[in-house]
Amino acid sequence: MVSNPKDDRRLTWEEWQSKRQALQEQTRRVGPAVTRRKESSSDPRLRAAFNGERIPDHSITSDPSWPQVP
Amino acid sequence: MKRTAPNIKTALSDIEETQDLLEKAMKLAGLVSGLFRDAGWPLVVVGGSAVEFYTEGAYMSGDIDFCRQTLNPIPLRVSQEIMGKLGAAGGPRSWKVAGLFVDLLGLLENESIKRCTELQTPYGPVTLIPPEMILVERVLAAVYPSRNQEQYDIAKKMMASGLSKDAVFDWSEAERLAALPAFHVLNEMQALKKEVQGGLEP
Repeated sequence: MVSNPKDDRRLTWEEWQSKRQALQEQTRRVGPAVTRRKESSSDPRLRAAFNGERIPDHSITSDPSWPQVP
Repeated sequence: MKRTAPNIKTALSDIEETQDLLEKAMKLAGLVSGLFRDAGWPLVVVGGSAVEFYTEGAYMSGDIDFCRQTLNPIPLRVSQEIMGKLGAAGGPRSWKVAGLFVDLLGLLENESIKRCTELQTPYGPVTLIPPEMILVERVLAAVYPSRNQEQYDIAKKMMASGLSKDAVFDWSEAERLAALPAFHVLNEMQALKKEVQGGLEP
């Protein structure tokens, strides 16, 4: 059974905006408003790879001790 | 018909000023998706930002996870060039743009036969993994290998979202997915559905 018989999965920006409040009320009826996650599932992996940062620090390429491209 | 590409500077300025985190994420997802799609690499939003879109549950952590739809990998040089147009920091698979993190995870894994959801944002189209897939994935994460309360709460919200009167959600598809050996959570999903339906009764 399809909840919405049209099964049209395309939404305009305005259609989405018009449905947001009702959806928020519906989902909050079944549990606490889930608090924003402090980090994403990718955070530990990325921070481990980039010295505690979420993305690589590209300023490292300006390190004068690095070999210069002639 | 080829779309008219948005003015990137104007778009980024608007995105940076947008206060609602989900709206901000969807605008940025539209901008990024549009540029990758124009270059021949359609992307799909998965993970927490897709959950947030379907549940309005304040689940986002400030990142947007994308997977690519094409079998061939996106050349990292192409990704860097596209994200460079947005003034993104980082790379070549994770960037920071307009205060949000954008991650390019790899090839999309989607067992659903339903179409993805398509949201037309002011700056480009966003494709989101079908809600049936999200629900079944979250049910699995909620119960296996052991009960996970955070995932259980998310699964409940996804269930409530699917049960809302405006939802475009195919229950037979969700049941088909849940019964697949890859998930094997049909009984758990049906129990959760009953629980949530009870919670939604006036």
